[in-house]
Amino acid sequence: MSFFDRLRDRWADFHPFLRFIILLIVLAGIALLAGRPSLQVYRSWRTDRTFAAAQQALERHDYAGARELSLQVYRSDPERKDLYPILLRATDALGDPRTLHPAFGILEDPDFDEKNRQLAWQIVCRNAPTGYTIGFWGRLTDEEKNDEAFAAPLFDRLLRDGMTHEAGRLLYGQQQPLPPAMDLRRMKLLIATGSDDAYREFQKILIFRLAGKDADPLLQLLDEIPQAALVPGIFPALSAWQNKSGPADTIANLRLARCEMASEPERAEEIYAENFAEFSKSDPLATARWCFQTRHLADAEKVLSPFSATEDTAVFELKCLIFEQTDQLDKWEHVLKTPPTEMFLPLIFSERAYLAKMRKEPDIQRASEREAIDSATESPTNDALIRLARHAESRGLEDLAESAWIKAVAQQTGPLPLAIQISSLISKLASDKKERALMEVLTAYRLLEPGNPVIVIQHDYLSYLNGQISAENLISDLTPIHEEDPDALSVTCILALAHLLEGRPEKALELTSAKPIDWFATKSLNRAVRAIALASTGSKEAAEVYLEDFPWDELLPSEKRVLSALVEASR
Amino acid sequence: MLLGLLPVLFAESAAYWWMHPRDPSSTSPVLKLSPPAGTSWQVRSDLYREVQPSLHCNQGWIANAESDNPPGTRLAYFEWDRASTVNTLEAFKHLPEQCMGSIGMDLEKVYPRRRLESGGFSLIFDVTLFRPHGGGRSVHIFKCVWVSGLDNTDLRGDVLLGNTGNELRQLRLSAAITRFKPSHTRVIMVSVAGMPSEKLAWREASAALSENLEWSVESNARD
Repeated sequence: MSFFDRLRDRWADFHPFLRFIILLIVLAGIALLAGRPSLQVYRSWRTDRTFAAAQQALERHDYAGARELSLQVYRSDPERKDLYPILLRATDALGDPRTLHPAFGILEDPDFDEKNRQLAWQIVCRNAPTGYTIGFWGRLTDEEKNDEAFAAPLFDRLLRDGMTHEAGRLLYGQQQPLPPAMDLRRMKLLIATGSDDAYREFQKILIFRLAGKDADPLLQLLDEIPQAALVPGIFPALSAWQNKSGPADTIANLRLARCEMASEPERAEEIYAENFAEFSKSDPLATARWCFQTRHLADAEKVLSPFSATEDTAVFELKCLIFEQTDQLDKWEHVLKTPPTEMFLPLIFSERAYLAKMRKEPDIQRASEREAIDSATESPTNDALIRLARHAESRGLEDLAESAWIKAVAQQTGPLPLAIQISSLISKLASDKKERALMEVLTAYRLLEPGNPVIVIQHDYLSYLNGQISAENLISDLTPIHEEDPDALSVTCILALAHLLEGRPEKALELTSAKPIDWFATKSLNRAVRAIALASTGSKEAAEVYLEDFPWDELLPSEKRVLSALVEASR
Repeated sequence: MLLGLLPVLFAESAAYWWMHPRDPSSTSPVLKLSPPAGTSWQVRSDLYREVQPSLHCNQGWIANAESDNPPGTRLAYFEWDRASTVNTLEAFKHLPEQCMGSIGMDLEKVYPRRRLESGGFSLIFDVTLFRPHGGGRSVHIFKCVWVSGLDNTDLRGDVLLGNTGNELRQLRLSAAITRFKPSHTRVIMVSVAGMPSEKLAWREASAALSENLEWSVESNARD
């Protein structure tokens, strides 16, 4: 019997069902091997079709459709980079915070064209935390860094964050002379600085420009200078420029009148009266704003009185300012009750809380603060909580600012500022013993600014005290920082504490004995660590000197728990 | 038929005789742990009711330290009286890494055992450190199994004839060989979360235990 005959016999011996199963397995295997390449071709074809549909949806401004289709493409082929520009535009148009992901992807790949990289950069500057934005700026090419299309959005972001020094450094790092758009930003920086010197410098440049042709864009900025800061020399220059430029509108004429009042203070009231009579009827809103600028608040209120604050945001804002500055709190409250629909509601509630604070009405203040937080949390914009926090800070509403910052940081979305800009919040949380909130803020910033040694130290320390990280983690994180700056006492003492807790008091004593230190002039934590290091190595009497009248209540709960237990153990 | 039953009856009688030796007329200590008093502790009867059916213990309790801030300390105490060899040895069976592992905690470290002196007796605590899988707040676990007649028993060490708590089959054999038949078994488990050092965690655990441990004397005259 041949080999094949024997095989056929064996095959015939199998039960029919078993034969059926074996055949099925073999056929399935063949189908899989043969069908796999064709399946890949089919998938690729289907992905291309979806990609083309996403492009078409974007072209007809169907952003939701474009986003959905491009996400489908992403799910089937995450490596497909030509998808990023579509996803970027669709998510940006929809205000979707995920827009940062394609933006980061485009900026990380220099092969994307300039147009896409510019848009991605604008989106990053508008929406990303400042730490990320500055980090990506460092990764742009030198050519891009000198391109106003890249420098201008960063400048605007820094100015919005109140980082005027950094904005100035950015401008002076640009190739000089600055292009017009960046030059205008230089002037904006002077106005934002808000000092008398900066106002004078601005006006000096403006007088020079008024002699030429390119003064137009700067004139609006002149309106932001307080009346008392206007220099007399601005009037003749502006007057000559206006004569040269032909007929002027009401705003320009009132601007000139402000300058004239500043140049002739003894005739200021006469000039004011003449202009008020001339323009209050023809353009009451511009006149009211001008009255406010020249500190004629009663006239400003009178001119605005026929206008409703419930529909026009300009009237609403001006009335609020006038009523606040004239202490007409009832009228201010009435205006705040019915703001125009375009107004940003969290700030309205914050203003109501501020008003309640001025009137010493704590219940209304708390209720308004709650409403402010709720409306900011529900807001579709990604910076609502940040705006609210900044506004509350400016109004001295500490609790509201704290709650808004904590919520904003916990969400980790939106243009969060650098940790250094919220250092007062971190200090306040520590002094108020709000350890859980402090931990949340530090954890969030550890991710946002992983290279910030202050955050690394504080986060590691608090994590260690609460058993979140081991002593080995703490020592490996802090040793490089300690080696770089051995004089940083807080790092030295935290390292010494880790050695104490790991049963190495000699090492802790060595660390705290490296330099002569007035332990009573340092933080109580440092003093406690020194005392425990001494007590644990036998110098109990010397330790007791440091522990006499020790301010235990200054410590955080976890610090107090750990240090007091260590002190007891060392005794 | 009768001839067939005889070997079975003989074997059962021999086993009964072997495992029920005449007790010497002596006394032995019995351990009891009361829940910590004071408002800082809350006895969680609901938690105890959940675990009791699987443990088959006679009595016990679970208490949590009430605190506004982390960390948290939890005490658990279970007792088996007039215990059989089987359920007593079950108390050894569950090493902390088995039950903690089932709730998503990773064993990070096993420390040297701790000894707690109380009323002239020693309790041996197995000490381990756990952390949630993927990171988070650490938990120190201190577990003691006390069995009357087995002094200084270490969970990971020599329980009976060189067999450890996680070798249950061998342990049962050892119990049979040594005619070991305990009267009382106690399990004490303390978890201290969020403490940066084992030393401080032990301070907290031992402070919670030492004031509430009681020893009584029981006569062994039985059967």
